[in-house]
Amino acid sequence: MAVWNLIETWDASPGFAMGLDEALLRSVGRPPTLRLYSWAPDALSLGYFQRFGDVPAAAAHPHVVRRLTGGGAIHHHPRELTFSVTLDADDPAYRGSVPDSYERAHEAVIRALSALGVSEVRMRRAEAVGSDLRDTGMCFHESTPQDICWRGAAGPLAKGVGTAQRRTAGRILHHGSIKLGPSPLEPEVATVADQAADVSPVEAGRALRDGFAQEFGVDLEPCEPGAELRAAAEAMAARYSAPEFVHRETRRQR
Amino acid sequence: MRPDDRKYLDSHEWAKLEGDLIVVGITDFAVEELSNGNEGDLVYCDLPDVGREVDQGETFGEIESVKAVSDLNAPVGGEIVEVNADMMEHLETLAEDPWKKGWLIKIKPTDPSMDHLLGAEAYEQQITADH
Repeated sequence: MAVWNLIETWDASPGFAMGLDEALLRSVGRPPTLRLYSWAPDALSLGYFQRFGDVPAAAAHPHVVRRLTGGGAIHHHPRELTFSVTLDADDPAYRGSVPDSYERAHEAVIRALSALGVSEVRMRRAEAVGSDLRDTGMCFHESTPQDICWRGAAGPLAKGVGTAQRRTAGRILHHGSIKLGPSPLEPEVATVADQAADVSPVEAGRALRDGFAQEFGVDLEPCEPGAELRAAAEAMAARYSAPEFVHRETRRQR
Repeated sequence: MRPDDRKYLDSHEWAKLEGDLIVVGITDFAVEELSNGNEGDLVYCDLPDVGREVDQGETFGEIESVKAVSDLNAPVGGEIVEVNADMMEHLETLAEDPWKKGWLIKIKPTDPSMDHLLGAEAYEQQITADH
């Protein structure tokens, strides 16, 4: 049975949260790693190419970083679990097409959500969702057929998990955000608390760990980021909240 | 079978010699991978400025779809002398015609040899083996 690393970094600072994912992404030859984390302070992350001005919530938020992964902005608050998977692009778990890799990872997340008590959780496919909103620039307000959805507090099917990938130099970083409770910056979004007991990021992380282990048939071996990895992450941390990166201009349309 | 008038990188870029320049684009397979067959899934393409020097294998740009941000790698080293600026506004062209209208950059190569790249048949075998 293949062995993956499991790293937990709760209450990570926004810069370190992103720096550690980059350090893991650039660690060629490292075993596949599932990382579970939460953020302190509460932060808002922009997609790699998003323009700051296209995300109204960013102007009012004191802690904004930019991710290496694409897509829309995400509010990382105390009732949210963030995860990342980093691995070689030819690893059997993610080998094949990009959509196929989403399909498998999303099945793992769906297992976790079902175990937490969320019912009828599924990928959106062709269904309509109530969480699609215009002009917010938020990831959870735009959906694709593979996005994970369930019925939220408002009733209709809504997006409850945001995911995005970065592929570079034969490695993959897969980011995910699972909403455990609501945020005023992300109205209409489905959360675990809409259907099940209120769980902490640590409790949700355990379910996600089990979901990945079962779906991919791997052992997840807990480990600490070593001194070298931590130093690399800390060296990269400052860039993520630097004004020249957060406010950089791109020609990307909304 | 992909066109055999050009060479390929295993990361799905193509390179075609035109005069003394190498024209670079990405394959239909790459577009399919990025867009899942839906051209609207391509979101953004970031291309370099004319005049930039690139090494063989160096990342010269990045492309974003709703699924992933991926690197664009230079098949040969040299100076970027032309950029298809229309592409940044009209990504649908990539899906419609990745082999001609969907070119991305033109490189004046330091060394015009493309012997290190894959032929059409070898590229075909590679994507079959990988998927």
